[in-house]
Amino acid sequence: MSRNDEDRAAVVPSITILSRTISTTSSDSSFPKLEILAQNIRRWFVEARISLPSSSAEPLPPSEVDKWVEEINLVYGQRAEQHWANLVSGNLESYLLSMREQKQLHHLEEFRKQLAQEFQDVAVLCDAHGYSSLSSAIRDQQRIFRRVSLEFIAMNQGVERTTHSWRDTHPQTAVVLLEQVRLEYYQTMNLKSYIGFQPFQFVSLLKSKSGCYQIPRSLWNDGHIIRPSDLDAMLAMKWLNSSLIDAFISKLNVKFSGPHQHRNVAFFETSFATHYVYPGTKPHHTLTNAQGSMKYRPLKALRDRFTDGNVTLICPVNASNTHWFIVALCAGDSFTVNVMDSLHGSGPVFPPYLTAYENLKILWKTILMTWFKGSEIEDREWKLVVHSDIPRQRNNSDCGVFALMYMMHLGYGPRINNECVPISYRLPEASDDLAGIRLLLLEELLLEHVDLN
Amino acid sequence: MSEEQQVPFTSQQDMNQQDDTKTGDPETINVKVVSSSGDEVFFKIKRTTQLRKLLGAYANKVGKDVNTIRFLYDGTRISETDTPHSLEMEDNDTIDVMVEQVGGYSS
Repeated sequence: MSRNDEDRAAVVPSITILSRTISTTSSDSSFPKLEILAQNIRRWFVEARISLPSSSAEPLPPSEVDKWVEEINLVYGQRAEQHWANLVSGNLESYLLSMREQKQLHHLEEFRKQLAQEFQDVAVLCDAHGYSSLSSAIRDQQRIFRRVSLEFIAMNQGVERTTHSWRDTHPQTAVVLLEQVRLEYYQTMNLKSYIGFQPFQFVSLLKSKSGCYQIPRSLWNDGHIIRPSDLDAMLAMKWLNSSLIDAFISKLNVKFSGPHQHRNVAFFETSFATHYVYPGTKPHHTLTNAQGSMKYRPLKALRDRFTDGNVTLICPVNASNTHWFIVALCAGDSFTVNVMDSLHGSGPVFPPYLTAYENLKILWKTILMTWFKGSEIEDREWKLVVHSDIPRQRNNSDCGVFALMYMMHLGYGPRINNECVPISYRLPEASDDLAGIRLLLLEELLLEHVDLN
Repeated sequence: MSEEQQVPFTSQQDMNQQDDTKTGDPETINVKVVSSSGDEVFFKIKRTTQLRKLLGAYANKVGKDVNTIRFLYDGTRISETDTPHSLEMEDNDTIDVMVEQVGGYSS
């Protein structure tokens, strides 16, 4: 090992000395990546709020690493217990805090993956330059970092799952929290100073003067605005309106924008359903212009999802201005029109299903003729499937909430409560009301990039 | 069912102007506003005029708060600052009106 190599080995971004500045970096700047890596690792530990081990042994022996991990587990275990206790007692502050922590955890996990790659890159670079001892020192540190960071992430994911289960185990708490959020919303109390940070738009929304919230613009969203009255319906266990449903449609189209297991999903707004599905007030040729090309813009924006033929079109249908249910046309693996209805599902066929079924068939044909002129257009046998074995409403107000959850589930897979649906999104088989789910949906709607998966 | 609003074709001159400008860039276009029950109201509007005016006039006509109804052009929500020009609207195009729908079900 050359003298130079030894020098460099000394500046390896040791995890145990991360809190110190690596001032010993030699003037040789051939490894700027090393310096960046060291800084990033320090940042990761600071952001994760993990205290560094007391031992400054270099490198940290395995027994010390074990001790360190135990300490982390202990600290987070106690925090989780406290957190749980606060949550189930309906503490709003804890609730907002848990949302903030979720977001932070997802960020830390992304950051961890990035660091794993950086470690790898630097080690490979050292090998390439023949600095073998430096490279092996880096790999030692990489192992320690991997062990500690994965333990931390796993621990927190466990906490996250536990703290989510309160929705199912303590439905009354959800009602209490909804009511508190609602009160805060109306009093526009300054939550920012209350909890010391501004985690999400959720909080800024509560504070905003008009109380209106604009769904971030995307291909599928043309500047949709949610008003206080829309949100109030969600919070006060009332009926949901089309503005709120449409807001979710925008979100769902973003959330499920890519194919999942070769299956694409496309969500349509309530106006589309009214015009072209049920009751179907406009003829399908109005989707296209005189030249026969597609002019209906929301459909055009979803064009990509139709390319490989395996697509599910999902529409929220309103019946008589009193009831929401979901129809979904699945093309590809099967050719079915599916109905998910939280109310009528198991009785005799509700007449609107048949109208929706006929209209969806025409819609599909219109799409094929417009976009896939060359492809064979055959008259297929489409099967109408009314899903009767799904969780359904037991009150007089939750059909909109069920409709939103059915759509979410269809994003993950073709059935309700399918195995790809994250635990926290699953619908309970029997529940008097969906207060917990209403809270969850509120988070889904108002928080940016929070995926509880 | 249908009636004309705002600046209806009151004279032959209007129609002539329409024809004259068809080959170039017509300054005004005719727009049909259709409610979900199929009622139609016709408007004539300059291409560069913000649609706020038309939306307000329609809401006023049907006696609704403009904030509670949505106007769609080719499936896209029209905002107050849009103009026929910005939406690339053509003569005799249709604007669809959607009123808020609710659901929860109570028997």
